[in-house]
Amino acid sequence: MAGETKLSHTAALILQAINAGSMYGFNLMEMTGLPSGTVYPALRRLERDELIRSQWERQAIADAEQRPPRKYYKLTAAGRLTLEGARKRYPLLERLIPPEEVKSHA
Amino acid sequence: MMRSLLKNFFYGTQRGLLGSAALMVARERRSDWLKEWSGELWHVRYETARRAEPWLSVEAERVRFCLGAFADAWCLRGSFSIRIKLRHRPALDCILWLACALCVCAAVARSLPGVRAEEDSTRYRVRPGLILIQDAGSSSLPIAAVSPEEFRDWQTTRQRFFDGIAYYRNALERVAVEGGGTEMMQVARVSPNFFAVLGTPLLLREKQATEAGAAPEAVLSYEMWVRDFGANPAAVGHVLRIGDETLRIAGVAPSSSLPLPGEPAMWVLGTSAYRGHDGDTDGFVIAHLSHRGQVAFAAHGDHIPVAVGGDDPDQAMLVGVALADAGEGPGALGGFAIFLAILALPAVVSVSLGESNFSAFRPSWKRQCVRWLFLVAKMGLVISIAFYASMALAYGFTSAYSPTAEFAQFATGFAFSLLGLRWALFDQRHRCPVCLRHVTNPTRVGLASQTFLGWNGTEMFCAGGHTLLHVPALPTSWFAVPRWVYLDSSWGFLFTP
Repeated sequence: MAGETKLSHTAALILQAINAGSMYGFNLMEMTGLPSGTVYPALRRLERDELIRSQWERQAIADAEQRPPRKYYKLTAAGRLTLEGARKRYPLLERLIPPEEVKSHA
Repeated sequence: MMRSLLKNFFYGTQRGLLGSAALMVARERRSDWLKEWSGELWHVRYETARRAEPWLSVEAERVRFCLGAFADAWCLRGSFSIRIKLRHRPALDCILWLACALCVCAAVARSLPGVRAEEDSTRYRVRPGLILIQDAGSSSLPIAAVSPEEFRDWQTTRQRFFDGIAYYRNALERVAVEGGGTEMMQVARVSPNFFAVLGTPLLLREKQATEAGAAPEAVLSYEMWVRDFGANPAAVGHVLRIGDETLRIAGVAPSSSLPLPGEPAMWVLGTSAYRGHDGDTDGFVIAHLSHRGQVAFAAHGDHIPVAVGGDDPDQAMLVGVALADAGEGPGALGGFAIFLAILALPAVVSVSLGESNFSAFRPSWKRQCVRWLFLVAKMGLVISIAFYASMALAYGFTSAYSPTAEFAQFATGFAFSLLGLRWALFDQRHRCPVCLRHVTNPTRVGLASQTFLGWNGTEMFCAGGHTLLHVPALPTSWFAVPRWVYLDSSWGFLFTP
């Protein structure tokens, strides 16, 4: 059922950006060029539809890097299936955010 | 300096925006949501600070980022909380909008360092009965006149009028600041019991007890803590250097709450107060009056002569004067501005809400109560918005108390309250007394007559079909204020939805 979910282009773009690894909100904004008012609500909806899941980074890691902890988002199995469908629907998706670029920012 | 204040203002605004957006999120998710956005704001600030862009555009980008929090909060509310299905209620809409504006103003104001400092200055007061012992010959500015030897003598002598005394001496000293440089600052050297005698709790205090042989303690002023340490609570416990001396920061004093001579950047606690600096050894003594001392103080009016050694009290060289209190704070000043605005209101607007003697029909007492409650709620919200907005404007550009900020708060508080109350009355006069909708569709009716007896004015109606409002073009003795005409059910066909 999840694989048949029709995503908007924005949601697909965010899903594609998350695909390569753990990502957090501001990182996604920089990657996609979308404003905060679009990225975070999209993340909530994707999480509600169980296409992604979120996880807080361990405090010790954040402390070691002297910054606040990040909330990372990861694709679920249903999210990966949906992304496959979205790539067929939006063929330019992989060109907009190639997996290599995503990895280099992660 | 100006840029630093503006940056503080922007940072406060950004935190305030996140705080007010968080109010829209369901309570059980709020802390997690705010933690994520605060963390993300840190990343935004960190990344944007590294860009070679004008700082104003960087700050604007950060504010834009924070504005996105409202869309996110709204999304969460819509998805995860219970949607409250409301009928279109114009009065409720108005109250909700005003409440939202109040939340934003309050969140922005309370996140500004200057506002927090002002609130702290009223919360952290010196205890009553404190006096400052100074030179008896000084007329306006207090002059230090107590030598360390005299103070030590007093400490070992049984005091009749005081139940606590502390020493206090100001000096200009070279302090190592962040970034490796040094800066000349006003430093107060005080006896170890200084804060105990003052009775003022510190804003921040080191948790662990001082170990034997540890470096002497320094208490930062609120202004220095904000300016040099970015209001970071972790500054407590750090060490700093004054000349060759190493000091440990033991706490932060609340802003402007210590009405003492000089404006020291920090207080150094310890016996160094008794050593002279550049030949200047005299200081002040802070004393707390015992019951007997209070009686003697009252007998002399506003001071008490202090005899040194066997001096005759009538020819005393020292005098104790009451420490001036930090004033009533922003709440009292704001309240006074609002009180004046209420007094001035009849001068700028007619306070009448309109007559209704054109028809025998009257709304039920319940509807009349709702109408008055709506007006009171609206005025209360407008006044609160004016209070917080004036605080934000006055203290947005300063991190501590200043007379200019106090004046700005008073002036803007008065102006905002007056304009707000004027709007509230004007708005009320254009709302149907039955359903509190705005009357609409103004229509010019009648013609101007030379005798003023002909009807000439504007007519508006309530879209719910309850009332018509007649507003005279030229107020006359027989038609001075707007009049409401209540419509009976025979008019219903005109307003059928």
